Amino acid sequence: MRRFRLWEKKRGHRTTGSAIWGRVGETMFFAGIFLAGAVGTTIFVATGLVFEEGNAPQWDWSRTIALLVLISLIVSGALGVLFSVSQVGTSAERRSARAQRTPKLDILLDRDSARRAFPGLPSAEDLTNSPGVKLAYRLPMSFSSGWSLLFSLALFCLFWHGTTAVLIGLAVRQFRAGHVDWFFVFFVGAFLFVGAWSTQFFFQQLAQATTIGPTALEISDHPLYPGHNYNVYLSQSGRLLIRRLEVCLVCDEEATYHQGTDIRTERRRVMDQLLFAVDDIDIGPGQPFERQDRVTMPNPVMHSFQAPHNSIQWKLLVRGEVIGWPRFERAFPIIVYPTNSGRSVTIAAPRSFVLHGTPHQHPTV
Amino acid sequence: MEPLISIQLFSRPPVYFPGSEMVCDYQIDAVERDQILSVEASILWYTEGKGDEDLGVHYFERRVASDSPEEDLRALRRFTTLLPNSPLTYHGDIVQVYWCARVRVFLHRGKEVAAEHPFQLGDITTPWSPHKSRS
Repeated sequence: MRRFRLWEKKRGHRTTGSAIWGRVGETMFFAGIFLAGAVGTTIFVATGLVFEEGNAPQWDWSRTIALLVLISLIVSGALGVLFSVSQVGTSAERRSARAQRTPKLDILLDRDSARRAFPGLPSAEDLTNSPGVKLAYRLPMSFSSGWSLLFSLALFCLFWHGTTAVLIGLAVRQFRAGHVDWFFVFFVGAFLFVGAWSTQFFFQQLAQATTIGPTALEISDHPLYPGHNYNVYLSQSGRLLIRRLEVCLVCDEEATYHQGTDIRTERRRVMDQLLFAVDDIDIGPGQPFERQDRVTMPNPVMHSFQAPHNSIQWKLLVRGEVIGWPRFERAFPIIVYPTNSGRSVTIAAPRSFVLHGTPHQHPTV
Repeated sequence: MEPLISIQLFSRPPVYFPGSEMVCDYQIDAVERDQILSVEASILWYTEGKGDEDLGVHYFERRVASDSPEEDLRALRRFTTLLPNSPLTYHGDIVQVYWCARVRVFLHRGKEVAAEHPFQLGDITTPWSPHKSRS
């Protein structure tokens, strides 16, 4: 007997049962929500919780919130039923084609025309709106390179120390009352230890981000094409002794998937190519290290790709080993377009394929 | 018995390049004429791999019986389309992009049958393997 795995991502054929029964189940689920909302609202009104008999309406916030929750159940249930019914008899291809034909706002038309010429490619607009000092474009640094970690760490520290302060308050109250729960004291100690470690790590990252100084990367042309040559200019500021500074071309695949009720993202580096490296640099105050080099995009390579759940991201990565500091990395996203070469089609004799129809296995979008 | 769906592409091997013209024939057999409600033909890309599936339709046509001269959707049908510049066929580690011609037949009582013919857009997959480029 076939067993269904509820919480794992499905492999191979991507449906585990009948699409029709799935749709029926979905419709019934939303109908249930709608019914719960409708019945709840009816009971709420009928039992006089909103309008007390013979009196003016007694309105307060708790009643308003209760009524809003019930009405939201009705609305979401009704919308869910309408959506489920609208999906009956329409294929994933038809829905996708319909969505692509949806008229766009004027403000989006320019971006849209670029996307029509190269479907599935991310927009390069944000990467070319900053001119460089030495070369055509100054590439923006990816936010995720360091500041997002710092921001997350700051939030974590605030939350953790807030919780720890409450726990310390409880422990002090117990101590004053003459009753000491040693397990609780140990628990608070563990909280203090994690808090101290995270604070030290936060300040280390903050010092690294502010001491190492800004990194600037400029490029002679954008977007990039496989096999073409480009000039890359690197500037590194700060008062530093750098053991090694390197610029690499990397390509990451990123996939987002549902696992149970979680949404997970997995990233895999599929290419990491050294473009140039410099050893033993002594950067003085007000004198940034500068280096310009000519690099060649490898060919053939996959172009940048952006879809709702899958992407292929190209970046120029600056890696540095600073004496007395942990290794740092700064990423500068780039867009790689497909190559224009090799556009030839060989028209051979017709080739016939007879495929036995099978129920379609792909999920809806 | 399931209907037979025949899809024919005019390139051997089925490798196309961006901007090239694709000619596709399809035909449906082993089913009564009045059993078919509608037929959808599409040229599309979809992703496979670790992530949830993404799908993009490049060409789409939907036909019902009244669209056909003899109200017979089983007859040989040809369509032509210019293929787009991207996304190219790609076999990565956790992301794969595939192209195919897909024909979906809607039958009575909510039943539907689909068949697809894969093809390759671009030639980046053959010489470039992601692993070879790792340092």
